Amino acid sequence: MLVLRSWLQEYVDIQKLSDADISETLTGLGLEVEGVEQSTPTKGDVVTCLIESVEQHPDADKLFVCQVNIGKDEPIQIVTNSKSAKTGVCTAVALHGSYIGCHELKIKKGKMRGVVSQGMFCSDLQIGRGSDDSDIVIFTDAPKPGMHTVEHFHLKDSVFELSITPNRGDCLSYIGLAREIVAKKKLVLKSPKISLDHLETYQAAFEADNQVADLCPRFSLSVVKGIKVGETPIWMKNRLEKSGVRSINSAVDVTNYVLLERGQPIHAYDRSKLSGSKLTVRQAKQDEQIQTLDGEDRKLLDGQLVIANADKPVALAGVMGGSSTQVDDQTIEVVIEAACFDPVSIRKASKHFALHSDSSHRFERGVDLENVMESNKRVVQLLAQVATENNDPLPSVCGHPIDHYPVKAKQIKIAVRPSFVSSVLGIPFLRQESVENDLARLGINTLDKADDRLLVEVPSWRNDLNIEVDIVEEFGRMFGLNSIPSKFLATKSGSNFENPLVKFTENLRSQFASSGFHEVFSYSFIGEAALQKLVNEKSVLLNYLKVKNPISDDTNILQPTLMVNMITKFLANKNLSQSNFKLFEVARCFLKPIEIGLAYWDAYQDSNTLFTSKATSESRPLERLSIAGIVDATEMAHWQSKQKHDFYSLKSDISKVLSSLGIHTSVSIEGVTDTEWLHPGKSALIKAAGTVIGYIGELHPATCASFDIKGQAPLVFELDVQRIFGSAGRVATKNRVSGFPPSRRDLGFLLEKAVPCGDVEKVLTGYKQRKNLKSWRLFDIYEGDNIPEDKKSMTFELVFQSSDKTLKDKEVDREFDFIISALKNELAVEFR
Amino acid sequence: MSLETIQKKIDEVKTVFESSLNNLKANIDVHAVDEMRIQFLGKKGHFSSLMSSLKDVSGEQKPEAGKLINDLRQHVTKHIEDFKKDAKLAEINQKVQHEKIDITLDTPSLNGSLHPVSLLKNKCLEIFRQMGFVVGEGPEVDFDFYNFSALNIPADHPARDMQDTFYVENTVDDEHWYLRTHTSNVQIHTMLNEPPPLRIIAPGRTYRVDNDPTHTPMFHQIEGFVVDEGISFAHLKGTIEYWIKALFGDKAKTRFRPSFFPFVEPGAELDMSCVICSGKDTSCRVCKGTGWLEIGGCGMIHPNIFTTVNYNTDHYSGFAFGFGLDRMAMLYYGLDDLRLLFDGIQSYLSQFPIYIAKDRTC
Repeated sequence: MLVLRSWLQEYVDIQKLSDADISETLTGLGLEVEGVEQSTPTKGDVVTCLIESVEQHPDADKLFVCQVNIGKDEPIQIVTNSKSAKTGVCTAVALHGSYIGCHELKIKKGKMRGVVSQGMFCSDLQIGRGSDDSDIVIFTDAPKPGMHTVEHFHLKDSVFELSITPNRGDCLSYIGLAREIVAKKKLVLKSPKISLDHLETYQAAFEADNQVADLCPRFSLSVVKGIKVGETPIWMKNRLEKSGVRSINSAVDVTNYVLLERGQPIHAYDRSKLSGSKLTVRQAKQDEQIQTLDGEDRKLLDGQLVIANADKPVALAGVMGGSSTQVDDQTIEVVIEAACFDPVSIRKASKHFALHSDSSHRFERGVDLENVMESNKRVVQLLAQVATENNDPLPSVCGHPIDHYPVKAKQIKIAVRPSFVSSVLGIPFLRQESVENDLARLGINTLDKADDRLLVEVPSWRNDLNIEVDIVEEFGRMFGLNSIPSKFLATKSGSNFENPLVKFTENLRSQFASSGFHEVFSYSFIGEAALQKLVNEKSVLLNYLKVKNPISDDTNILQPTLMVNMITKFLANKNLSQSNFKLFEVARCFLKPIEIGLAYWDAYQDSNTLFTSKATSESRPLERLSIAGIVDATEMAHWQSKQKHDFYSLKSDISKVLSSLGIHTSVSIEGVTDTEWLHPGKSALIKAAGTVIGYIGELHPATCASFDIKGQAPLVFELDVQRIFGSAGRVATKNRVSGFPPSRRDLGFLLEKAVPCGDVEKVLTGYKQRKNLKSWRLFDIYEGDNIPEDKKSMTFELVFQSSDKTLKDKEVDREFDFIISALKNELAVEFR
Repeated sequence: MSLETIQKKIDEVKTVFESSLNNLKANIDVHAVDEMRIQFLGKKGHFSSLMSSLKDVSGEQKPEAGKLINDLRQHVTKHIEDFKKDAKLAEINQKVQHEKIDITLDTPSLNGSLHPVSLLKNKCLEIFRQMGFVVGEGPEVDFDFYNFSALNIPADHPARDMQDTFYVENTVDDEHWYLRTHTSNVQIHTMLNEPPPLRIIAPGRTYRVDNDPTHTPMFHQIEGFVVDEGISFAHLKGTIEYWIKALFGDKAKTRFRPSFFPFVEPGAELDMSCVICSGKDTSCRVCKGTGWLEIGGCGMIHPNIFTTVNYNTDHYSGFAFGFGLDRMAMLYYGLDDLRLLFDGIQSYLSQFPIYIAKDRTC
């Protein structure tokens, strides 16, 4: 909302307040001033001057050539057509390069019929001091020549840009704002006197029929005859336009002027275009239509509030008038409507038609029922002032204005305890009178007093005050929130504990960051098309949630996996020539509430323990907390060695991070079927404590192709955070480190290529006679020359150690032999 | 053999030793020291021959002569040992002279990083945990009840326009599903599940239909609320001031001005003194010359909320606040482009340290 300082001055004397004072006062009251702009009627050199001589123009009868003193050594020459330009006259002149705001005129020097003119004499309106535009201005007090008119006549104005919160509909007007300043600054409100006594009355046979009094608690009409609609006087036009309202014609401008002055939306109808002599407030019937003032044909919904004449709706009540009855230059008789409509109905209509008007904005927030008729009269008063020709008789007004107001607004009364006020705000004991006085300045009057109790009455314009704590806020606004002392919270009482998952997740993030991963943040929504590039048509992830009003197709579903965003971030980094990087993200994933029976994705099933909710009957979407990562596996030459991330380094990163958090993982190759974006031969499920907690692998070449990933396929992983947390183990039995010397044996053999190392390790872990095998290390794998094509050679170093004695060679040999025979039996290895 | 004779022999050995000592001093060398040891202490060395002369010394003079030999032997042994050590050290020193690496070379350090918003969030949580808060959570897709109506934001009220909402298709029933527009839904979820007293801090992702240089459709908020006996607006002020000072330094100032959020009454907007110009630059781009930065909303929890969750309003009162974490992170780290936070470019994201000098910013 734009507020013009000079207009505000009409209702409260703010001359002593600077722009900054006003901003601070309003902002401090909760009426936020977002900006102040200086506005001047003219820009550049528009100065006072003295005409020193006047001569007839040599080639034009109606032009005069003047020598003008503008306070400089030499006079300047101005050509004018004004007969008032006489020697010795003081007037104003706009010099080359200046700008006249009201006429949007840029002044340039030039020749008029061959004679040089260095500027232009100005009218009172043009310099922005008054409203007379008929001739050049003449200053009778003979100001010194050469003074800037803006400074000399104090013509600077300011426009405040306010952001009014939706609870304060009453402040969407000049008077509303003036009331607040008056209360805070202890000033006096100057309400315009409204009287129609000077107007003749006549009998206009016009009626109103309010069929929906519950949706329209007050409906008033005035009828005015004999107006002359035309150009709006400059002063009014100026105020409206600086307040952000476009000038239409004098009658329409008056309605908008009153809307801004008093906050009451007004509509004017051309009486002659109305059929019949009655306006009806009713709900629209099926298939009714209206063309609104913006030229749009609108099909009305059954039940929408309209104002109708005999045969059709003529206004979308409270939102916008109809074009068929609009006021124009020909209008002589108008019907003025001021009313109060149900906020919810107006809001629904405004939303339905996507039609947000100054009227609907105010009705949605509620208008002052007690202000309706006064505002209507104010319109008539102003029409008589501005919508007339100078010498015509004043318009006359219908002697019986209609004011349908069947149920008077309920007076809200609230009991307020001063002790409650001080306990909510945390300020020391308040005297009853100080509360009473502060509230009274806001128009909240005390009806009755008792011990620690004031019964106050809420003024009709404050529909936001309903309960005691609302009054506390009013007192707080007067007291000033910054005057309230600060207190520390006392030592905590009671005990609510934090879900340990929270801290666990923080640690998880830190550990990945410490392992060289960069944390990224992505939007939780992704594009449906991108997901379809990732998954196949049978994927459980196709049960994703759709965003009904997405900002774009790239963000039209909620992510069921973090993988799409990981790939997007991977590509973003690649496009900026980043390489060798590791990224991760922790975020929620979403799915429709369905049953899932798959190894990893069924993590969704135990998802909603993320937050406690008692209402188990609610059918909520599934939300789970996921951590995912992507690793660029491009090889990078380096002076020491070649740097390259691969499946094994990622697997080791994950297992290091998790084991630092007390989780011991293993990988298994079973059932990697529901992650079709992974290379089938280079991927695995990750298990901890027997549960699948996630997957790891290289991105499938086909997936790379569909996402246009060139070069080395990246490595990815995704883990369910709650599952990880759930598999945290107890502290393992703390084994002392043996002080007895270890014995080492090398174990080399040939094995079928397809047998994974894990199978060998299973045998090493599981042979029956196992007693002293402490650890092992695979130090060589070889395939190729000298070895059958279907075989590979593996060499382990085994370490035997006892915790209570030095092992004899014989003991070690015996155990070593058991291992060899176990490997022969179970994996058919060959020893060479 | 007389004592004199043996004395003489001893002196001779001593002289030989002194002179070879001087030779050695000029050129310490492990081999020379070893030769010297053999020459004096070896099987055929000087001391062996001295010892064999000892048997010719008469009985009563034997102890004295023996002592003389032994003294010299100790003297020689000590010197040789010392020389041995020196010689070894000299050898090592000689060796390291030739062992030089190029210390300006680097191994690529593949450091990781936490996102600046994560870092700031962690800092905030640390501060609030000091004040006895615990972290609370709520769903990101939620019902009208938790996101709006229980928070005193009725349907068809202009207050809903303050937050442009994303709708999620509900495939189960007729209820609306929303992406939460604020973390305030955590208030309702928590209060419905736990009795007072409460001290909750709830950071999380939030969503609004907004996409311009200063707004992203997804952003991060941090919500805090306290419910207990005797909680007042003064406690709200104390808590928030502590937090802002702990984060931005002692000189950071806060300003509360009345505002409207349906779930608080009285409600206020919090401004913080400009971390860039401290209010000294009228052309400051960040605070637009006002000296103040809008940080978030706060206030006393509206009694309607307590009624909804069945808390006794005669006994309990509370305050709540909600702030934008992304904006705070930008202020904390002095960033000017919100979008970079969501672009995920590693070399950009790895620039943010956990600690920065606070006085620089305030």
